[in-house]
Amino acid sequence: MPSCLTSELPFRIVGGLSSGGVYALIAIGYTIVYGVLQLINFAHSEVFMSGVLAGSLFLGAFIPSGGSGSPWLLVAAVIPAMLTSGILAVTIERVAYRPLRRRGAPRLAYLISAIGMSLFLQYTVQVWRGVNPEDFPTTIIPVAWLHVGNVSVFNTDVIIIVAALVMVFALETFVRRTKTGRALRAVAQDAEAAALMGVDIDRIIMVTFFIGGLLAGFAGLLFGMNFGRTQWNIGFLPGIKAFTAAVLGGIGSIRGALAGGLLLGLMENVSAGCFGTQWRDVVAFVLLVGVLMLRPTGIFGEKTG
Amino acid sequence: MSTKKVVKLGFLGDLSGGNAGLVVSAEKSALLAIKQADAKGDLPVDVELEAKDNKDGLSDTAPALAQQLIGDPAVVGVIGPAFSGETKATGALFCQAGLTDITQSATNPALTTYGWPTFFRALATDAVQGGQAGAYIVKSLQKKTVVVINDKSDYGTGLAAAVVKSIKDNGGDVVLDQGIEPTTDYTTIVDSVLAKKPDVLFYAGYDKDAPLLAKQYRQKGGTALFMGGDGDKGTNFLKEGGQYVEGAVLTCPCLDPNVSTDPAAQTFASDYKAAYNGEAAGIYSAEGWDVANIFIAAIKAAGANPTRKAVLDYVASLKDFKGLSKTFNWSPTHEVLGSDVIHFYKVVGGKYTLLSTPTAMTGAPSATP
Repeated sequence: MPSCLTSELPFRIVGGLSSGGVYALIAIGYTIVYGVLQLINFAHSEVFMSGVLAGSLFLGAFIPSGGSGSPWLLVAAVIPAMLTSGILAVTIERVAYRPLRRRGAPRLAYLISAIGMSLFLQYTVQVWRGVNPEDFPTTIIPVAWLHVGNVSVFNTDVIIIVAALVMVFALETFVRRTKTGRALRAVAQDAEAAALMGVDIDRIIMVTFFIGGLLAGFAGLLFGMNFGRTQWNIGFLPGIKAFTAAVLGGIGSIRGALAGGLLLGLMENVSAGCFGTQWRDVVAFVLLVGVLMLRPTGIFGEKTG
Repeated sequence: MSTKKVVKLGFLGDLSGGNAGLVVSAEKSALLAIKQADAKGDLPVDVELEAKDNKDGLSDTAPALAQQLIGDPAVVGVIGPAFSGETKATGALFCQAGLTDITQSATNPALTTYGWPTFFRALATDAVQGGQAGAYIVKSLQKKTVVVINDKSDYGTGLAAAVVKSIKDNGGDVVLDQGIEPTTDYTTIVDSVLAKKPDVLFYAGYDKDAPLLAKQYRQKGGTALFMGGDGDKGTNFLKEGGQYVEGAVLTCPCLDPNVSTDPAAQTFASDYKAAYNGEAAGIYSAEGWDVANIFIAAIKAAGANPTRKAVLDYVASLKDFKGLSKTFNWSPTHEVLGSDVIHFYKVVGGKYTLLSTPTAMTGAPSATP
């Protein structure tokens, strides 16, 4: 047995779940928007980026450059990060998608609008903040909490995995138990029928984008905490990975996004150990194609809520 | 107004794009060298710098700029091009025009194999750098196990290959040799390095990525000595790396005049500061200054009417020209010769310090990081 499947495996799993948790949180934004609009919001990676940036700016106001601050500041930063991303997501919907919807534009127009919005946001931030990466202020210094054999489990990994699970659980509960959640599911199942039943579709779409944005902002904060950097194009790779995770898990499904995100993170990290880092993305996408060949609708199929 | 003939030195490189930080200080140094020579008052002609900005150092935009320099009969020599890609794209043009170009920073080993008699390189190649880095790790530091990571760029893979070869040739053990494109999330590679528990982690890439890798590796408990090449040696390495790059050792075919103990280099560093509002001389400053001075010496030697041919002849026959970065002697393919062509820098207290010039190929340097 290669060491990537024996001695290395446990800490590869931890690292993989931690990357995967972030993918999952972003993937939810893709998946629920697809659920109600059958639209891939390619500007979602920039919603994520805005969360990293907002968190960084908020923390930067309290923490001197190069220093570190209290973990409570990170907790406080949850609010600006999530709100910024949530509001940005809603704004994108208003500016880039709603006018198209009003005019009954073809699918392709949405796609172009999404890509345009994504580039617009990236380069706006590039002009504003500059090309070079900026430090994301340190709040949580990684400490190994657990040593099991040769495996060290770091506090940052635990925080990310637990926070991601809590968020997904909270969202599931919201969608299942609340009136708005029910309306959301109704729109996803049949928008016309939902409208006839008195559901305000525009409002539900707005809520959907807002929720997706909130989670992306939260993911952004975790990402910044873990990797200590922010930059104009930081959303690109996680965005692509999260989109992959959403498709892998079954686009439209919240649980699918979680499963897809975690599975993708795991596969990436374990395969990097077995075949070398250069094979990481190859393996991840072979996995995607493999799953889609066996189950074209993804692991959890196409359903909503 | 002077009635002397105006002679121009061209400069070609990325002055405003993403990698301008590696180029601008060389241009400023060249300008400073010309000003200083002019102030001495013994120049037979008026020398001007004709800088061409090849934004982002792209290969496809360089030839047109090279043509502009070639087309200007007053241009007798070219400082640069700054990067390997643009040098490769313009070398044949300069060669045809009989115009001498001396690069202060392009390090791809292949550049001198194309047989351009007009092309010279004022610094050691990636191959030489990698060779010395490997010898330093195994021979001087007595470290056995090394992980070498590259950023999959032309530069990174080339340097990494040279380092790996040298480590093996010197009897060391490369336990992991991998490429990873620049990213934010280095989890997978950090986990791989941790699993190998190496003595040294060498990153062949650029300074926008190296500190992030160092940070994520250190935060996860990695203790290996962090090393890198000239691409890592920038201000961002110190700024973003902070405590996580303390003790790191970087190799560079460049001399950092700000930390040199050589009086001439120190004078240059303070002159540069005085000329540019307190800004410190950057990477390849000393090399840019040296190249400009080689050309100035050539112009002086040629008298009141320097031609491209006269400049080329002078440069080609250069012997023991004392520069800041090294003493210049050319190999038959126009590479610099000598043991002082690679310098080792260690991060101490958040600053680069120059380790006593190791002659790693012949003997062991005394400093132990």
